[in-house]
Amino acid sequence: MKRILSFIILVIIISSTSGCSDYLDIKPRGTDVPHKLSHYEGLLYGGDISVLFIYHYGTFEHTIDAAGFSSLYIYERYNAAKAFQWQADIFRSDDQCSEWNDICSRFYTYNVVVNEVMDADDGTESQKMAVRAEARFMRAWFTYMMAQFFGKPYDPATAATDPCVPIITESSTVGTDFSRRTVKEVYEYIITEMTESLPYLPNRPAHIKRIFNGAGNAMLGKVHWMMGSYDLALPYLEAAKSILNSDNNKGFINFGEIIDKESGDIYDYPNTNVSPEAVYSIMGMPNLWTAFGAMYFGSPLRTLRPDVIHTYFNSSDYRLAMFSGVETWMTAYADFDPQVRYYTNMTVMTSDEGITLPDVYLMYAECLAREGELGNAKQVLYELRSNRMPAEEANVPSSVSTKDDLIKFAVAERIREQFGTGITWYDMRRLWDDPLFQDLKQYYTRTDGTDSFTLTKERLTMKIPPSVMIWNPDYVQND
Amino acid sequence: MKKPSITRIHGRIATMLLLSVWMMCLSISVQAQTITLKQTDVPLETVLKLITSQTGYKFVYAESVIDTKQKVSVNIKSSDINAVLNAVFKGTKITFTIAEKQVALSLRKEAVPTQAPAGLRIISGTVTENGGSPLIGALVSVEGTSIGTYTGISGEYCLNVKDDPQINLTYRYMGMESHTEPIGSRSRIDVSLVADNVTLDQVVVTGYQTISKERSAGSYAIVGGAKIQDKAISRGSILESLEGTLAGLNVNLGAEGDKFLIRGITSINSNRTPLFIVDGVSIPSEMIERTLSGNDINNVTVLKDATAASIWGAQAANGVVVITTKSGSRNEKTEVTYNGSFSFRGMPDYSYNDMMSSSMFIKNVSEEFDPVGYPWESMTTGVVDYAVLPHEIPLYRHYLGEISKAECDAELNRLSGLDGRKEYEKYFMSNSWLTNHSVSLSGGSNNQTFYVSLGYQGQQGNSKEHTNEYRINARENINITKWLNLDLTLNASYGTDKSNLNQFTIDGNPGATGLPDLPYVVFYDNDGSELSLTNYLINESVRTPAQSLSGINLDYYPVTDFNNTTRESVSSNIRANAGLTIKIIKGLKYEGRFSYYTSSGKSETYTPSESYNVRLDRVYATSQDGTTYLPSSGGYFRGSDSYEDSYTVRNQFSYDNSFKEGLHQVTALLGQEINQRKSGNNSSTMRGYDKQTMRSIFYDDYFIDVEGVPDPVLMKIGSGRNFFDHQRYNQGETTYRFVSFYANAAYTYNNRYSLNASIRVDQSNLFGSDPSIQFKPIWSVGGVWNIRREKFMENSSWINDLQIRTSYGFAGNSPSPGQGGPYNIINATSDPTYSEFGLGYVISTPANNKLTWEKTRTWNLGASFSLFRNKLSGSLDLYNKKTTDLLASSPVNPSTGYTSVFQNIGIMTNKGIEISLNNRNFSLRDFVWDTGLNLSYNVNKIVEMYFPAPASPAGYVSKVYVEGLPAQTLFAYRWAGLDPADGAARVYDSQGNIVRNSDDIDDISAIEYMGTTVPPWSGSLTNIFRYKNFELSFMFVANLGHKMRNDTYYQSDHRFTSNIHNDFDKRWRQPGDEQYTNIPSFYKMADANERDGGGQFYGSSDINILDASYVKLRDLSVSYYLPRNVCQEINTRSIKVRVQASNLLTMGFNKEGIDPEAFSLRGGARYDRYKPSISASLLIEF
Repeated sequence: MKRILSFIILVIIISSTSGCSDYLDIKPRGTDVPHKLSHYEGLLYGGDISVLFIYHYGTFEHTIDAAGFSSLYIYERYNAAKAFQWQADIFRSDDQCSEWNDICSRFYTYNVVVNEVMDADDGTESQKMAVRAEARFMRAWFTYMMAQFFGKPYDPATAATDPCVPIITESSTVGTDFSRRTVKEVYEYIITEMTESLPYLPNRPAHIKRIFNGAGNAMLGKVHWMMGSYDLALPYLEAAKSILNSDNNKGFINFGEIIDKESGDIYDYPNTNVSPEAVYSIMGMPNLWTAFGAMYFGSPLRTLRPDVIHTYFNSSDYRLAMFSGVETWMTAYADFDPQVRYYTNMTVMTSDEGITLPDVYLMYAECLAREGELGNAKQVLYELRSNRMPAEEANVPSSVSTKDDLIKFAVAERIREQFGTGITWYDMRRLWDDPLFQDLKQYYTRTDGTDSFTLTKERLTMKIPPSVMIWNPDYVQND
Repeated sequence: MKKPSITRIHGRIATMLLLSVWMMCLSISVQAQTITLKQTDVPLETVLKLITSQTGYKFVYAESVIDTKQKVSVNIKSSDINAVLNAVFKGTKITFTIAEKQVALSLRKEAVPTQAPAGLRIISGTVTENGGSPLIGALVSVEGTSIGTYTGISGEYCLNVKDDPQINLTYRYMGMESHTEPIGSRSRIDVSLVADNVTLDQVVVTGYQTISKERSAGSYAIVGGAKIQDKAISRGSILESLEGTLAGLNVNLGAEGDKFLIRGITSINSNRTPLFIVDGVSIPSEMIERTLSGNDINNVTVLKDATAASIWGAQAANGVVVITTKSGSRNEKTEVTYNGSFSFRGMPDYSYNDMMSSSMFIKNVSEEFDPVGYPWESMTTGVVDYAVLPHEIPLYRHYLGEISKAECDAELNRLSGLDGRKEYEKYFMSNSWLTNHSVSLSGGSNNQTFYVSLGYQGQQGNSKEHTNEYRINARENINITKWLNLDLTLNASYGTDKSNLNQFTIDGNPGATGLPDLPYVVFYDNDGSELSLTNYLINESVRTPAQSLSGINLDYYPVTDFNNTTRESVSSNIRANAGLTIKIIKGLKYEGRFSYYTSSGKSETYTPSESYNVRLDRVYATSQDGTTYLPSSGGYFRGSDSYEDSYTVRNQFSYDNSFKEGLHQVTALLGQEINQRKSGNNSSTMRGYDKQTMRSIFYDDYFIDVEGVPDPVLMKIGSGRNFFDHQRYNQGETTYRFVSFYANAAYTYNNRYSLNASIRVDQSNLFGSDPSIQFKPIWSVGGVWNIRREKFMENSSWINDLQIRTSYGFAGNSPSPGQGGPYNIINATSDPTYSEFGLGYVISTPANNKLTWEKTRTWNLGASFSLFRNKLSGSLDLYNKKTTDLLASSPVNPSTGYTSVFQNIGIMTNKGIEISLNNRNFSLRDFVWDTGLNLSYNVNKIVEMYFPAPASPAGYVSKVYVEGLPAQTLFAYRWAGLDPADGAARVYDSQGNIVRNSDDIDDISAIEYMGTTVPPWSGSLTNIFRYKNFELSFMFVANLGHKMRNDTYYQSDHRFTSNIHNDFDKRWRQPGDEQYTNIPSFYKMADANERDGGGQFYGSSDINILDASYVKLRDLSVSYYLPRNVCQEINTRSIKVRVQASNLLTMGFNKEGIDPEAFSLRGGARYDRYKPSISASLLIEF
């Protein structure tokens, strides 16, 4: 009897333990599946790529000699060396390419947000729309960046046939359709996405990891500006400038206040994270730079072209404090001497591939100049320059009188502002066929000590790396 | 010697009193046992039964000798067993001996007939243990009959047998190996039995059930606990000591690679380790080592094929190792065993590393000194991790004309004379040793058995670290009623660990990454005062201003720092296992099991305020204006905790019955199980911590992480501000859950033919709950044919056992949680830069709903045999394992956003053969020689890769998995000799052209496949010699047929900041040197683009691929058993003294003196190698 009783009890135990199917549905701690608004919002900034490694053929501001080329080769191997020589094939078949891969990795995340946030469990419709707008903006911005590497510079005559980058709007690791779209299609996509999303962008203070309406206007302006549609860019840049001007967090760093006028050293230069000049920040790391790393400070790799520095800068320009003499260990501000080899002071300089306040001012000034609003353009340039040099020199020189002069002056100011950072590369692409800037090409020849190499128009566009080609055999390779 | 047995019992009690009060109580109850008996003229067997029922004493006798029907009378009150038996046998010819609660009956000497009846022969002799002490009560029987007798008090026996020389006598004794001897023409046969070390158990333990060996179609190997116990206590690891004892289980003691593999690699990136089971419940291998001592093991079974392993389901694709621990025996007097050992390993043999001595180093670096490529000005300005090293200073100063050649040479000579390694060993290292002690008690009564052991393990490592571990293990088995049985096991262990830190960093500060690896570094000067080594890390020109601006001294005293830092950790483990067995009806049983274990660890590391690293951080955190952003006092502290717990609940019904007098035998099992494993950890780090008061000073973590320290007096690398990681609390946890249903059945017909089948379904939380992916039954079928039982084999005189078995089955490996599934999985991140917005998230694993299980299908064909009167026994297995949908991280189109994802990537096969042989080569009275051989051969091949990843020639050289080749491939460039012009390394491209640069190689066909780093052949050979009380045993292990990359000098820099491989001294220096050397010349930075970049060409070429095969004399031991009479004198059952030497001999098949176990086969680098270690152990059984 006892036996039968215990047997019955056991059957009950068994059936009760095996019956609970919820047992396997526990959610392990530490991870989650995105389902809340805060998850989607957090995906926009939590997965930030702090550094984008860029091989865009280095920067024309740098010179090199035989010894420099060797050390480039040691620290960066063939890729950077080939990029320095403006060669077409800089990647081996198994080399990963940051310009393609890292940008695509952001698309995966942004597509998750764009496609799923409206179904989030919580949040209001307008909150969701704001997050979605921000994600669409980021996606469009990175498509724009990718187009700068792998698509030809925008030319209305050929844009409809020039191959560009894929437009990726789905998140899938097994997806297959990544066909290259034309330059026209890609830019249209970028502008449509940004224009549609702009009204939903939040109106909050600028933050280097978030897109708000100020940054959004600047981005939209920059895309038009990059396409050469200066008239279309103008209203966005104007709006961006005005929003940023009213933002208490943002403003210029007055270089005059952080330079020791005696030693020429620069103090207390803020980190990008807290810099009032950073608007939406993507740290770029031109691969030539990694060779300039601290391993070897005096490396000839980092030597700035003396002809450029002495052509563009006045000795009173505070920005010269950003450059140091190889032998003298003094900044170019303290000792501006044609005989001294200067290199970029990596301890303060960064290469921001996103949006900065000076960038907005300079684009705006250039657009104003191109639209013939010379007075306004000069005023905008003055506002920037007065934070970069003694007040008495900040005004645009009177010698700059014509429209063309002012356009060239605005671009020269860009070169000064971005000197040594590699950002000038994008102007080199944009202005390649601009008749006003053909004289810049004199600086596009460089030497490794034995041979010299000259930039060609084809190389304004990177070839699709073999590690991408192998997965997309139908791609038409760039020249 | 009137009452020898009782005297012995008293003596033992005295010994045991010292051991435990609880034991004393038990023993007294034994002593107090008295008998009252009043019987008249009843058959002897009735009286014997009465005595048994009153006392538990059992009688053993040969029915042919003792007439139990004879009538006896007895009338005795409250007397002990001796008195009672003397009274019973008074007037008979019977005499008796008592041992181990057994009473052996025999006839008095004078009663033995001296003349054998016609056709019979009288055979007498003695049976001894290891040729020494006599064995009382050993059974001597005629093989194949029930005729037999037991040995008497001095081990002698006497038996009437048929006068036929073909007759065999079998000698058996508990705990000893049985022995069979043909009588020939002898009338006296003396036999020595040896401890049961080698015999295979007759059952297979799968963890769920125990099935007789002859009915299981599975492929398995079994080893008894006694065989590994000695090795386990000398080595301090139970699982490692399984090496060489089980064919098919490959235990890798090398510095890298999978530690345990059963039948080759069946997975690329997923789980490859076998499943470990202790007493029926799976448990992590570390828990086994932590909670069990070597002598707690009863036996270990390895389940290798599908039939054997499929009962364990999804986790068993890599095989299963089943460990059964000891329990007491019923009606057994309490036994106490002590087991202790001490092993000495010493310090690693530095000469094995092939590094330069101080003088050779100084000579070579002086030759290649390059003041042009590294100008003095740039070497001495600004940078922290770049200090001009002591050997460079005189060279620079001479180059700059500050000192003469003679002064420079004098300083270099001084450095050449310093022996840094000797100093390093003195101040930072210690001899490694291990000691192990355990005491176990076991016993039982009619209704319960118990086993209790206490263990201690102490260890010292090579970096002055000490560990202590204490263990207790108790097992109890209770028969509550005839149909209800309960078993309980409790293991607990507690360990402590104490060491120093070479360096403690929170951020991994450059400039403080460790002690300089230069051969001339000494820590004290001639006067015995400690030297500051800051000059090795920071140039004086940078340090002096930083010190004066911050007011913080930056002297670095490594020995003091080392001794002042601490790492202290404790760990505790508890495991409880309870089982309930209910007999429901005949053959049908219910078994319930609940098992739980928990393990927790806690560790604290502390670097005091005065340490160099803490001071350095403080300097980094000080601005030019004097503001310090880190606490100005207090040290660095990190506390971390880890925990793991798991439970298993199992309900199963088993049925075991036979019909028609055994013609049909059926065993079946049906069960259900749930299992959860949870593990986690957390840690927190503090700066400015005071160890005594356990408080830390507040500072602004946000500022130093996000904004950074402005204008620091000493700059870290790469930015104008110094940044520090913010410190916080970190936590992590993983939970696995399984729900499983399983069933298996075995049917045997006429003891000859058996069929096995099993099926199991595991559902886990690993995939989410998508049923289409979850439902993946694991199954197997198999059959056995016992040929020996067939009629035509009945008369075979030399085949004692022969069976053939085959099986086929399916197993799987599921990905771990977070490795993939139908959803995007996100992790939270908390970068202070965006803390105003709340937590950030990243997608840690992209969704992949195409991911499926890794599936392994296994064929097995095997035979087990026992030949020549069981002298030779063994097994042979052939298998073919095919794993499809291999799980691994593999490339995808980068346009997806991922360059590689965890996915199903290909197909791999493992085909192999395993042989296991045990042979008694020789046996004569006092001398026995046994040999055991395990040999396995496995061919691994990656049959298909679904997505072959692209590779350049330079990338192809380091490929590990390539379609059509075995896993873990080694590739090499084809060497073309040094360039006679400058000594650069050169290789051939695919067309046979000589190239100097890997970028110039045209095609991957220039790269040659050289072999694999996984040995296809592995095996062990054990020989045991026993002579009288001595036993000599040694085991060779071999791993053959694999390859490795030589360790070579390769140039990674153009300046020498650490010691160099001594090959560098044999490098090309001038044209013509290429005739006798292959070591490339050293090249300056300016020539880098002319050379093979990183300098790997030479090291990756075919001349540096070596045979990695080796044979080792893994251990050699000599044991001595104290003679039994000596043991009795000191109240013990047996005493064994054992001395073992490990790794006495290594035979490598390479000319470089490389011991492949102390080597990175793929990377070509030497690891620490030790001289043979020696251990001594003592085993006492009370």
